[in-house]
Amino acid sequence: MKRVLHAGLSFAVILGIFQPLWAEESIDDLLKSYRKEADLSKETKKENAGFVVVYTRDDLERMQVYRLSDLIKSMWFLHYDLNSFGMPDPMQQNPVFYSSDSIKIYVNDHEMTSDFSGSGLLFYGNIDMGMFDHAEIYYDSPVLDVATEPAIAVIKLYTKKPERENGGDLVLRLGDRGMQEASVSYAKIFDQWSWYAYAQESENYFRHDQHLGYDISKDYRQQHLFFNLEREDHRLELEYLNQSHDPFTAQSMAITPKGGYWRMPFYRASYSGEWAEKSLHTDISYIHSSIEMDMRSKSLFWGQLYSPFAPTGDPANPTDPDNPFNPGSWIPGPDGNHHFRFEGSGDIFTAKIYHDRVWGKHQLRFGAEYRYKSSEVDEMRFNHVRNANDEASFNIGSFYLQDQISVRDNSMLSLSFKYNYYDLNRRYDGDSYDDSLDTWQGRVAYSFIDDRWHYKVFLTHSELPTQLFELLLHDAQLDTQKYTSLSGEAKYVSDKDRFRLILSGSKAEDINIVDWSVTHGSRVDLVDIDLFNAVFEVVHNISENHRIDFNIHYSHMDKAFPNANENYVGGLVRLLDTFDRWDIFNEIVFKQKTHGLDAGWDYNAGIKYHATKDLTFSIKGVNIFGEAKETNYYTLEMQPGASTPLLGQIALPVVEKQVYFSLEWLF
Amino acid sequence: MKKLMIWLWLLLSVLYSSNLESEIDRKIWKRIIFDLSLKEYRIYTIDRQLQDILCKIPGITLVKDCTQATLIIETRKTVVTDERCLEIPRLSNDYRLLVKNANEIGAFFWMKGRPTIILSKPRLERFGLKVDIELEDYLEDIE
Repeated sequence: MKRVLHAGLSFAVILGIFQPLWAEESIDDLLKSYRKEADLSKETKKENAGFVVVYTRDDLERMQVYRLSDLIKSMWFLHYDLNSFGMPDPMQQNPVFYSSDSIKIYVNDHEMTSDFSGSGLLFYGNIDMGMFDHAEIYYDSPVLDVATEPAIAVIKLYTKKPERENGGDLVLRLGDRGMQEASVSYAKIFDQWSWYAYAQESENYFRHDQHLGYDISKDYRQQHLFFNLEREDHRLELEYLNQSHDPFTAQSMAITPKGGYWRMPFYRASYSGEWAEKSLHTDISYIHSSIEMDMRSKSLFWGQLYSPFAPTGDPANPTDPDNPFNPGSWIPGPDGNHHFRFEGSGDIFTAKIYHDRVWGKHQLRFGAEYRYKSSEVDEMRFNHVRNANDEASFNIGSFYLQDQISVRDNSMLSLSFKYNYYDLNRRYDGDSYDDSLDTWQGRVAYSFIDDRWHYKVFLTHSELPTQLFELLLHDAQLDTQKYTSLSGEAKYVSDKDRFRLILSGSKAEDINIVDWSVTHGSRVDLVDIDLFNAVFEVVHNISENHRIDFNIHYSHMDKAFPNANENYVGGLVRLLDTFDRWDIFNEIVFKQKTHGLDAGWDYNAGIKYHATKDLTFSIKGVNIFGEAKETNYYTLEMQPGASTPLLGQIALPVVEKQVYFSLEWLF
Repeated sequence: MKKLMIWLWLLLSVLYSSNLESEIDRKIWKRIIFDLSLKEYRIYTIDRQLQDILCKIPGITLVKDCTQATLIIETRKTVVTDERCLEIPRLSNDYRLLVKNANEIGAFFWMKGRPTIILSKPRLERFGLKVDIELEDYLEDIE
């Protein structure tokens, strides 16, 4: 028996010793593994900045992520919604123009933002992903390291690096209903310099829904250009994006759009530099964007409920000399349709400088930032009534200090504080309404890594000021919404698995909630909300080529709102498989039933065939069973003879059932 | 019992060490170098990171003087300019060096978003070198 045991063990050891020879991977397999190992997200991911979800380049390619919205729709805690003009707005409170101001988006080191919303998602939410290497989503008020202004979530996109591309990429894509897209990129490296250029154009067509016989379209066309020039520690980025959209609901009160468009051209020039052996960092960015809207509607637009466009005087006594009835903007054109036209533009200049210093067990960072944000309304017209030219600007100055202290070899205490000063200059109807505001952000974080177990605890406070566009158009007061949260994460990591549990309790104070049930126009209530969020996530690598992702997230609010439950559950299951030349992905995104809306089961799947090293064909289906969650949109119908209008709502699909065929050629 | 313990220890150490082999770049360099028909594997590089990778590969001798080397490995920032070593075959991690320098026999670098290997067939022939069959797919006619 002993001999048998020894013989068996000898065989096992010999097998082990010679295993590298027998099971030696091919060079091709090694290169594939190297690509995954050397993913750039390992250089950019900031574990201490919040709870982070990383989509590596390999993930983005195998999942066939064509639009940023493909990722946004599975974000934790949030519904996937569109604003009333058809742009991704996960926190939407229609018909408010845009509600996701506290979700920030960055490209490399620079924030994509505009003066028309506090978040770049307004124009970047559907951005094509062809030029991006990887993406990171940070939750739970990341500060300093990640975002300039306070945020509850930050999406960071990183562009492809010229030295890794060093060649060209052509993508042609066709989708149902005539959708078409083409993109081309090329990267070249010289002795000292390297550059990467990208151009994309698409026409996107979706199902047109009907409401009261009116066509609701969110089709859009897009042109996108990007150029990146690098030399050692210096990088210059130039970007142009232009989207031309159909009006979707057009903020028409009864959702009766009669055609029109909105356009949003966007220009960006940014510079990032590192000096003094990378201890001194500088970022400068200039953004110019504008909006042009021209829409018609059978019913009134929501904007016509407010001054100066709402009627004045008493219709029962129209000739009262002291208070004559003035129907104002409510008289439609000769074709019986109301007409809305808006033109505005804005500039944002941001300069940041920070210095890193190591002092004993302390890693210190000192930084200062300046941002100038201006917004101007050139024309705002409802039918024949036009407002005066209004303009507003912010000068925002900030400084911050962060200290990361190595408590022991495997634990770190991080303290950070940021002070912001907002100086508001506003001209409204020719008069000045200047104001100023101080805000602060603070964070205490403790992280502990014990072999396979990782723990993090964060206590954060941040204050989000009223957005410039609201100050300009809505005569709002400069004030803050405040978030304080205590969060923790426990993670177990093994060779094949990652389990993660996140718990977070928050108090949000002075949150603007629009109560549309008060039908004489909107009433903005300031409310305090207590929130509890939890996420359980599993990533299991079955083998090198097969992976399963699973997460379930739960949110509890101490109040319910018309579009949000007190308790809300969502989650996803995703399978990523590679068989020889085939990549296959399957994904189900689940969103719980909410008031007036069924639960959503968004099933997506795709197959990629690598015909050669340089030629790939793929097919992808989005919302294949048409069961994705819809979004509710309010309607308000003026009833002839009735004293109050009738408030209603309709549900519209926001994730379309769609099939795409793509060809990718590397050259 | 003692023998059993020794066998178990050997078995566990073999399994453990195979788990530790996660340095894929080392594996790739090892395969490229040993697939070249060099008589001896005496390598010269001034790149610290490459030195760390190569010193862990049994069968490779890192030399301190390029004249003693049978192969030079360089990077964009650590090009070997010693004129006495111009006739020694070189590998690099940079496509530009491969294109510029007629003594570069190959490179392991990033292109089209993925790591790749290119070996120059005419230059290998000039140095009287052959490659193992597994690298033949990576041969190109770069003069």
